[in-house]
Amino acid sequence: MSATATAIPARGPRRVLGGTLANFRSATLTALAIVIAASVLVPFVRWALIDARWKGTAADCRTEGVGACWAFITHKLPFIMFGLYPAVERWRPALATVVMLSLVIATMLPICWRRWLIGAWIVGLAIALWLMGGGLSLTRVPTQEWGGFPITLMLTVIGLGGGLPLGILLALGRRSQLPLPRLTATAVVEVVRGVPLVAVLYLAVLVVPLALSTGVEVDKLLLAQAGVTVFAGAYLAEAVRGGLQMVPARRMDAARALGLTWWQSTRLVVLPEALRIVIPAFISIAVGFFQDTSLIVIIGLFDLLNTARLAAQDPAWLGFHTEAYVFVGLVYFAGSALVSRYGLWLERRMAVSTRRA
Amino acid sequence: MIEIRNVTKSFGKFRVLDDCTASVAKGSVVVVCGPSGSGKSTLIRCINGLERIDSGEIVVDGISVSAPGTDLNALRARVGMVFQSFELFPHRTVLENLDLAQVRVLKRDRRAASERSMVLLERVGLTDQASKYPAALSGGQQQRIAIARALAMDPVAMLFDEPTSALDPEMISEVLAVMTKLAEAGMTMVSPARRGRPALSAGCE
Repeated sequence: MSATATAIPARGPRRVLGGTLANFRSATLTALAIVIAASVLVPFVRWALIDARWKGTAADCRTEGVGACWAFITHKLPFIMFGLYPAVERWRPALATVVMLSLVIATMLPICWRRWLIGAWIVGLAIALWLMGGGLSLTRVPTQEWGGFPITLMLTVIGLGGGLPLGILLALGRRSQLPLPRLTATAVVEVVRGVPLVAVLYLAVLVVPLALSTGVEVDKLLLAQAGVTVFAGAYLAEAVRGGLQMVPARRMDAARALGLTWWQSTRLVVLPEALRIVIPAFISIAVGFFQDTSLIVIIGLFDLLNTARLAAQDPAWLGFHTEAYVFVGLVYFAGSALVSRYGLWLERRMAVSTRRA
Repeated sequence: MIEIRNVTKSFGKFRVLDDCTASVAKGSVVVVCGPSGSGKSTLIRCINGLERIDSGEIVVDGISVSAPGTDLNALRARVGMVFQSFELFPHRTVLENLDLAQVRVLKRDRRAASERSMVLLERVGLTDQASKYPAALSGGQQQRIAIARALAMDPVAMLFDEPTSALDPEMISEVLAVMTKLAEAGMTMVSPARRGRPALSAGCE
């Protein structure tokens, strides 16, 4: 350890610079880091902001010396957000997105952690699916025409929302004394976790219809949704199992000693305690899962990443791939960063609420 | 009230209870003596069926614990148990800890349950802590609440599994005071004690 480790840390700029310039090696590394950062950042900022074109046509963007063509994003935004969804009906996926985002926000607020939230999810998702699919006085839109952000959001929230109860069941099954639930749960969890999501998706979309009787047309999006839900369930199951192991067995004894049944003890005493412990793990699984949903591109569904890629293949706007990917990257980053920050906030809040009255 | 007849219990090859016979009369207080590891906790846990016995019979208030058809949940609801490490439910407030089993097992409505809970919190001197979470309370307070939680079920007997062993010395007396009051009120009680440790009023010599 260097001398700076034992010294009383100085405050302000001296503390920041003191550590990085303390000796020759630190100074060299600092300088090197600055050079590398500058050589990446400066051109990027020039490209993305200073030389960027915010308005105009593709031809304007193609003139010499123009950096990022954000006009492309502005022009193609409806397509990137909603894919092949019929243009006049785009208010429907937009509204469905608002409904789903409202549900997500409500779920993130501990004040809303009441029984009605489950009902709100069921009603909200039904409304979102009706808006997307039509029927009941709305024009029908087949799932092949769904696309963009609503697909990403739907796969994520239904995957996590359906994956959590599945994960809880799998975790309980894996800890069961009874051989059948234990072996089934262990097999499901290990197989699904032992296989990449791409393979799970292929299995769901290609193999499952083959296994079903011929002539039965199963919706591809539905199969993909089922696949990612099972995938999320298997990962969440291991997190839940970790949480269950942190709750001492004596807690179960205490609940049973009051006359509560095994189910009541699990549901009312052990699980609530276990789930609280694994909130940080849930958040990181959720963030990873949100990004993983983009893998459905391989089975030809148009999630946000795929619509952005397709937008850059529009003959009128051919070749603005970088802008497309930077934009989508920003959307994913914003979503992930917000949820991560939320996770940190929630952890602190939970720690306080169990420590004090 | 509690009859223990020729009970045997083994963990693997280790025989914890060997042909154990005892009787606890209604309204009496029985202190189980022995060094740690001698099976006191196991005996207590067998009485409300948290551990299964290998042979023999335990009868609580006329109901055989070990008989195959016995509704153990119903039996446990009538036999209070207090643990060495309190085992309050950490994500529920004190009042919710007391209400939970009254509502779920005895099917009391929430208001009646809370009224009963407050009476018992009064008895252990902790009404002002009702809305706090267990982690905010001292060990002695938590154990008094655990006793109140068991009493809220209106049990016919109370089992204590070394209720003061996990407590700091200065907190032992507050828990013992609650237990003494309970014994004086005629509650049937079973409580183990290690030799040389202050048990209930009875010495363990």
